Amino acid sequence: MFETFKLNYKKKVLFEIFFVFLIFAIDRVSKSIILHLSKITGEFEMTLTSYLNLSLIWNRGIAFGLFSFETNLYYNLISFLIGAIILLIIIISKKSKGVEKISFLMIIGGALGNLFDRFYYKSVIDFIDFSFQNFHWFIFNVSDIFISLGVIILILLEFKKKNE
Amino acid sequence: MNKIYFLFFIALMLSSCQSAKDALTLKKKPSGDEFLVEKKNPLVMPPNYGKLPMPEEKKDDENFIDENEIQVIITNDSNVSSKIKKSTEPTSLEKSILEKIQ
Repeated sequence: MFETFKLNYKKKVLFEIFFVFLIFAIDRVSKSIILHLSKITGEFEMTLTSYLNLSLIWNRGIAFGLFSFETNLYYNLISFLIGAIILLIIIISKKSKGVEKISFLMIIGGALGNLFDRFYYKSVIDFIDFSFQNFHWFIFNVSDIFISLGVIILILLEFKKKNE
Repeated sequence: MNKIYFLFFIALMLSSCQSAKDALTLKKKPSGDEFLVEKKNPLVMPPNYGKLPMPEEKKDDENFIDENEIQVIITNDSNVSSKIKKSTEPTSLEKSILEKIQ
């Protein structure tokens, strides 16, 4: 009885690690391709459709380019704060299950992708640029997609719980 | 409600999108000083370029094989090879020069 529980728990943890790693890998591969293409000039601009462009940009801050500090002290402080938040989410995700857990894992995978950039490149690589006529949405990356999706699902679940 | 605020905070802190304005205004590009760029003179033909002597055809040493060697290979004639050896021996004039040098 205890052995089967232990085995199931082990399988569960392995699946969670694999899921997080998969998101992290997708993000890293996409960023590596963009970096490889921008190797010659250091810049990269490509129009895929009239709505979607690829444009390499380095972000030293957080969402919407906030807290984009040039001084290393503040930059490292923000990076460690992000690391602490990721740890907190990992602890919270341990108690969750089902769709909620998947959402947390998506957030963790994406957040680790961005955190890796922050420590390795000293800024995060953004390259997906959506535009409609002259209006441009904020340039983001694959990690941001997973983080946003995870957060949206969690908010929807929260509203659903309230209604019930 | 507090949880929703917390989730918004997570989204804000962990995601990393950047204003498209920075990309469009080419903020990331280092600006070069155009006044530091040195102008080069246009390429011109040297004077009397047409009068220069034509370069002689050089023999390719690696591919060059003596006719006698080919003959030896084909016919396997020992006489020919002895002739070659003889031709490589120094003549009397060469011998006297060599003696003087030594």
